[in-house]
Amino acid sequence: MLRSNSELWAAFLAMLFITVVYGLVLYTTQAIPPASEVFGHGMGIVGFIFMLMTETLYSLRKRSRSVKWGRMSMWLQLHIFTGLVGPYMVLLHTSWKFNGIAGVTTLLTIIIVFSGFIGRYIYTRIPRTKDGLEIEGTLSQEALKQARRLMALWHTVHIPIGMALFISAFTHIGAALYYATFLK
Amino acid sequence: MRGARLGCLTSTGIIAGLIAAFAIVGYAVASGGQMFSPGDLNALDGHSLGNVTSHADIGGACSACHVAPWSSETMQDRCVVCHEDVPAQLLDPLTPHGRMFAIDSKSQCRDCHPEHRGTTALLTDIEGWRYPHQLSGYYLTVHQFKAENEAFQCIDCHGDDVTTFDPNICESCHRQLDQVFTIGHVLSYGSSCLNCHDGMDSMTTDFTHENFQFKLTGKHADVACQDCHDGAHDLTGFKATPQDCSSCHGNDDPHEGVLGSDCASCHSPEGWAPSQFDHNRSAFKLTIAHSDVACTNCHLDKLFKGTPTDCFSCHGQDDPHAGVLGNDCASCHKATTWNDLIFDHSMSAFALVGSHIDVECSSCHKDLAFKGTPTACASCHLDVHKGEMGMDCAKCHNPSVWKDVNFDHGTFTGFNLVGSHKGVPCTSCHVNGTYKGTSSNCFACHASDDAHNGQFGTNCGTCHNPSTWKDVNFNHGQVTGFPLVGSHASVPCTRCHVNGVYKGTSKECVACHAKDDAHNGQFGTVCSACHDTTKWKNATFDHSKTNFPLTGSHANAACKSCHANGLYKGTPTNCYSCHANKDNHNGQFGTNCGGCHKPTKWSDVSFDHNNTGFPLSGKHTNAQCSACHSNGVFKGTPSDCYSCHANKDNHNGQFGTNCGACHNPSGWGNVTFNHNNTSFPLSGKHTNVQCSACHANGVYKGTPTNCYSCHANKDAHNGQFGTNCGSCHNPNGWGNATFNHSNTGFPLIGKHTNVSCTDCHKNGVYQGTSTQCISCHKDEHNGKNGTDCAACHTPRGWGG
Repeated sequence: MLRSNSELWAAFLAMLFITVVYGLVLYTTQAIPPASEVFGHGMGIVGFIFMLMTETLYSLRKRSRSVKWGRMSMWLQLHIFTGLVGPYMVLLHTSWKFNGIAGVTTLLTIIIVFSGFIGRYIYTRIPRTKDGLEIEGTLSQEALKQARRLMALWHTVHIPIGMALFISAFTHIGAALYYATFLK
Repeated sequence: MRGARLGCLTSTGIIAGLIAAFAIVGYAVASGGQMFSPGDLNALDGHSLGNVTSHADIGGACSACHVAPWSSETMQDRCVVCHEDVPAQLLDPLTPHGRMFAIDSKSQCRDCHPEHRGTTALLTDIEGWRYPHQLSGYYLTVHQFKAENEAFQCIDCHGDDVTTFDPNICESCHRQLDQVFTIGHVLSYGSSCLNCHDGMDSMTTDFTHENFQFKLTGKHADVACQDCHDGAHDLTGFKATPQDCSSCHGNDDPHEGVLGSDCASCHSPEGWAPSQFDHNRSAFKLTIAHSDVACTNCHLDKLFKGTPTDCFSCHGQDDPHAGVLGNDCASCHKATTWNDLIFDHSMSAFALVGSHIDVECSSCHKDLAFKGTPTACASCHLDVHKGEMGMDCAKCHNPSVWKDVNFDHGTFTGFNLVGSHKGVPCTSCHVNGTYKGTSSNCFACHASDDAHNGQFGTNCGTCHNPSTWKDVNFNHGQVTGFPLVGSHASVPCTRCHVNGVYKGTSKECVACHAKDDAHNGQFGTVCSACHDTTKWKNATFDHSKTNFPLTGSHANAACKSCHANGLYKGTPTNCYSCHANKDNHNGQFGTNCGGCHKPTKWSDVSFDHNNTGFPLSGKHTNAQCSACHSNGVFKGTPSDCYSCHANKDNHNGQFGTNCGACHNPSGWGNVTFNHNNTSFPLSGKHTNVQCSACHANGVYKGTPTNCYSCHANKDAHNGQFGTNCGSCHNPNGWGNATFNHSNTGFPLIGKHTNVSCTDCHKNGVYQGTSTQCISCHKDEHNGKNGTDCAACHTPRGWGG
């Protein structure tokens, strides 16, 4: 059972810290940090790496048969942490301009974060061990079946949004590399 | 079974991914890359270049400007396709592009010309510090910020075209800063600001004249710039402003050019007055009284040049000498007052010294006639000696005071006045005012003073000197052969020379001292054999030359203590002849005191007791003689201990009278009594016991040797083991008992050996203790097995 909210606190503190740094940069340069310069660009890169970790690490651990590193709950906590902090950094990377493919990517990012919140809510309805195995809890068989059905439905929605997001994100990155980063 | 693949690779996931990819590709094809644009392109119409009037016209044709990363082209190559005049400008340093390229040949177009910033955003965005504006001749040093954090843009000064500049823009901006100054400044110097201002900058509010050769001090600091820089409209004009005073002040000169054009040699910028004119720099230095005179007293009609510097020109009408002493007043007078003269009389033939210095000039120079005044003393001074001393007053008198006469009687007369002669009035010797021919012989004056009635002739000076008569220098030794030494030196002459008779006086001691002979002639008449002339008492009689040399106390004894009644001859040398009455021994040791006593003092006795039948050792050596020899009786004193120590016998005679058997003279406490020689040798604790513990009341003899006689009251066994404590105990301590229980009818074996004695022998009762087990041990079987525990159990343990 996910009783502790420590990953949410950690994410909140990390976001607070990033906000303070963003504020300092804003104050010293007297300008919104552009997406193409050191700070804004760095935020985009680190944020995307976090999002990529969110997408892959938990999923790989969940399906790994041979290597069992760490508890499932720990990986889920990391998934939630990077899944909150990464999108937040990407949001700051936008320099508040949402046109073109970059704007689409941002929109999908925001959608998948909210979807993730909903998924977590459903997930915590089902009693589990710390390793994430479903166990018989206080829920009635009917309620449990209901929750599992809801969880399956959520997966059906969440995963395609994620796929669309990453296709969009990779396109944005490719275009940025082509038109800006490797510009001669 | 599912493999270990990513959870996103579900069928819906893959489908969603593919749809997204198709959507992106589709839109990209349709919009021509618009979707990758980070912002709109500039849409402001400009010149028509490459068939477009703005970048926005290029639209979604990204590749019109962007090149592929793998292409050998650069973006700049794409820029100059349309902007084809730029490459030429880059090579011309007089163009803005050329200046930029001159300092940074690697700079790219997009460094200064960013795009995708919106349709109306400026296409030129370059920080002031980056563009080398100074290469244009104008620095941007003071044009960095319009306001705080608001940097100047090119457009602020140049409008749309950075290659042009309208100076009116300066005035319109600076009027907002300080309207009054700007309008006045433009009126004064015109509106071609760049003629003087270079932007870095010299002529701003920070402008200071200090950086130039001509510093603004004093009143110059308050003068308006154009007052001096009249007509200057550019830097060259300012720099050409003359710096000499008269260029500006030429028509202010009240001296009408008479004093030249270098005003600063007298005046300073602090103001025309006070003038710093230093008269001392002229040929005529103003000193003392002259410095207080008004300029016009000498410079009549403000004429300065050519004013004569000789005294007479001004002071001619003041001359009281009527021109007799010439025109050069300054050779005698100082510039202070007329009376303050510097005339040096010593430069005349008659130097003024002493009282002459203070004499009024007119005392000698009657009618202020100076020349030809005679220098002889007598020409001024009256001779009181009527010519007897000649005409040269200065031989005796000096110019200080007449009365301070320097008449040297010795030099003049050959008769030095010394001693009392100095204070004698001249007339005592020179009677009737007659000086010449006065005799220098003593008797000529002192005949009447001769106290010797002529016995010593007329040359008083042989013995007397001129100081006082009494100060006689008569050398008795040289003159008479009888030197006066010691007490003779201080004896009045008349003691030996009675009745004033000096000649024929005897030199023998006895001639004068016969009546002083205290020895009644026993030592003859040659007193000097023993006495010297210092004092009678300083006799040097050497007693060691008699047959009784004086040693020890004898050396300090008064003569008369042995030589009573003044008798010296025949005095006996025997001790007893003097010391008989002091014999403390009443003759017991005979009359030869020297046998024991030394002459040093009576107590210094060399009596060796060891030569008697009783050598002294230990405490005896320090005992008073009288302790043993009471009443002064030495002979026949017994030598046994008891004869002296009987009253100290603490043993009441129990050990006989030979104290020395145990005690020795080193002290009563050093006893060598050996108890082991008695019938009761001491061992163990007995050796440390106080004697009185066993020998109560000082009784030693007959003390019983059996244990009980002393230890009966300590018997812990109440007599159950008899009186011979020694059969079990030994003197090393009561605890060291060697009781052998095996000798009783109950040998101890097994656990019995470790049992405390009192477990079986309760209340200290040992005799009659039952040997039955049951008498000590509790029967656990309640008598079921009888009382003989040993039938089953052994002392090794109940379980055994």
